[in-house]
Amino acid sequence: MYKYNFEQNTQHRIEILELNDEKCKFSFEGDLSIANAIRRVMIAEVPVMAIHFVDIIENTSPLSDEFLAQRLGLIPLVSSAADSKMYDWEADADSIDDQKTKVVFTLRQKNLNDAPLEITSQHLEPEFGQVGEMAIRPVRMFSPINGKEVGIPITRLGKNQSVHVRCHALKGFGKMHAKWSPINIATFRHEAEINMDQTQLQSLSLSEKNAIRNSCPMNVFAMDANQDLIVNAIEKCVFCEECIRSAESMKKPRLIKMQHKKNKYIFTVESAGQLKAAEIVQKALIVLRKKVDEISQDLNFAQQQQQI
Amino acid sequence: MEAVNQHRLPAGHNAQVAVMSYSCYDIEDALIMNKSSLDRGFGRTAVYKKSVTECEINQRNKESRFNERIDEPPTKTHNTKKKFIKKYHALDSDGITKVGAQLHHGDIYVNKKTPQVPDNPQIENIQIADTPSVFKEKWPYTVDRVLIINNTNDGTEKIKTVKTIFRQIRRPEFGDKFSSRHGQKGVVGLIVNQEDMPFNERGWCPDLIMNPHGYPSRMTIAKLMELLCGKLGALEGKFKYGTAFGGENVLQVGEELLKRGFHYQGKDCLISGITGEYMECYVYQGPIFYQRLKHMVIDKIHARAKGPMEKLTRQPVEGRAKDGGQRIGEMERDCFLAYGASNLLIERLLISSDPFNVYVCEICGMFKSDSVCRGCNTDKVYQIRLPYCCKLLFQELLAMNIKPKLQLVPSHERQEYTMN
Repeated sequence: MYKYNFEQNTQHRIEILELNDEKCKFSFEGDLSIANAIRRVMIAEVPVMAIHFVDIIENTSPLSDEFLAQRLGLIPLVSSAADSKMYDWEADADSIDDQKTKVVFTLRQKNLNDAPLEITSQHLEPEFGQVGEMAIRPVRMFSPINGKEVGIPITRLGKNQSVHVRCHALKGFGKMHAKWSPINIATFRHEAEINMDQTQLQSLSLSEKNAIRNSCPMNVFAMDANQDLIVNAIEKCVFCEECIRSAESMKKPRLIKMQHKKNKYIFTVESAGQLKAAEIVQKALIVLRKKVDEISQDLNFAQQQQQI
Repeated sequence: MEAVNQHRLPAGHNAQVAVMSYSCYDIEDALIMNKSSLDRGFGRTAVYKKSVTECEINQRNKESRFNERIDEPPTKTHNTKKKFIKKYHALDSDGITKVGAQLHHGDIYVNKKTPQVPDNPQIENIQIADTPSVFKEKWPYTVDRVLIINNTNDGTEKIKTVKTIFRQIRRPEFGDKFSSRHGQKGVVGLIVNQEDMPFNERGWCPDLIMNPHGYPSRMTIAKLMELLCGKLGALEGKFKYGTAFGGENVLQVGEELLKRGFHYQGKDCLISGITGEYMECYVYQGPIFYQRLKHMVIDKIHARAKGPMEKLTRQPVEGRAKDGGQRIGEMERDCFLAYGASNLLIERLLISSDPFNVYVCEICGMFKSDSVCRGCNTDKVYQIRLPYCCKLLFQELLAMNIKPKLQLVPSHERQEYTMN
């Protein structure tokens, strides 16, 4: 049963292991509940922009209107500027200022040629002219083959087919719909702890040691200079317990002990493109902080009420 | 697969399945679905319905002015009722529905008119009756395509036929039926947010959770093999054969999986999305091909408060198509009896069904039309309330020369019945 340890968890530490725009890997030392809360907020509550309403003016493409709208919605939009936008429901209903809540894109294409025309996110044109890094626009996608910029495919048009739609991108979060989720992967794992019984280890022959080393699919074990079995790459361990089974086959079931290390979690966050990976973590922490603040405010208020 | 090119044109998805128990909404073959997967398009289907409206030549008089025709919708004037004009909202000026219009229950999609042939065909002003095609589905559909055919009849008259195709895009919801290709069918029992779903350290998260109780009694070994081979196939980027009759060697597949850093039995260590703790067991997980079956809740959901009644018995009609009621049958009645819910019983079987007030003569015990019995020459005639079909039964018995005599007892003198 899980228990929060107040004494142990006064200090939280984050150490960044790997960082680029798409991926952020860091170790988090602290409590499990906080680690999981960060993960959950990253998936469900970091606000980004996504196309939500689609006005269909003309659609003679092979896809139905609903299908087209769903595909448009799932296109990730670069949303670093999402903080400056308001949620649809926050905006004053009397004085609706479109610029405050949404970004509008138009898509107007007609294929006049015999060859099919692929409609991609590159054909989406923002209506209120936005420029620069902070512009809310579809993410850019590059071909893995030749590095050329290719858009995200939406549909294909045959001869004389056309699409004319107006897309309204609104601010939202992943709990409402997965299109507002900024992550591809948000996961953590507990670091492994492998303890080997040294006396039993000494009794193993070299070939047996090698067998244990080779049993691990992730190459966690290695041999040191003295031909002793050591744990070399603990971070790779996936708890498959192959090494334990290998030891069991040598009639040494207690040779290797495997545990989850408490209070240290290795996070992997991969961005879907709306935000940079580090931004997602930062914004998740802000959201989490806001929630905690709300609770403490409420508690303060309740306490004051009681005193009166 | 190859023989029918099913690997090129599949009718389902490779769902990432975790074989585990979750939240007890997965008992009796129910499935747990990931909400984010549904958002991204898992199991989304388009349902098409077709309807044909034909204009016919009047058989009594084949003059062209008596042919059925499609007319423009009524225009809005100051004295047309809002409700009346609303039915015609989907129509174009030619009286046929627009492509892309949304049709609700009761909307008109082809405004057909039928001229009435008068007895004297010379009359100029003929009556024209409305015989429109009315949309009968309970939930809104979108008009997908409209096809207008002009049939030439005998090379003289042009008669219109309108075919309309309606479309509805359906996202999986509670109670929709899914199946793998091993006869393992189940309904959606719960839709869970992605953050609550179990995940592994690589970031994998299931689309669908299936309860392991489906396996032992059904003995669908092929499904276990499909999962294992599918997992390896996904890692290798190759097609694999998951059939139990030949196919891949499971032991070899396991070893290949092990080389790629997975558990050789296809099991993985999952972390609970709710608590963040590791699960105490390894979970069998990987891709399985899942298809959506046509039994969908939206086609079967039904409820009514008041509605149409049967003409003969004056009881509610039966069946969803006729907007019928939910029957309290014999066994249901027994439940009420056993529970002693006598007022509920009266309410269900009489008041909400077919109450009928009738006069009964105390002496002859027959139904009377008013408060005097002329046969017995008495005014000891009382009004009682009974189900209409009970009255019907007595009258039918009377028609067979059997006299059911009603014996009236004042309510304060009513006998109390006991078990002995």
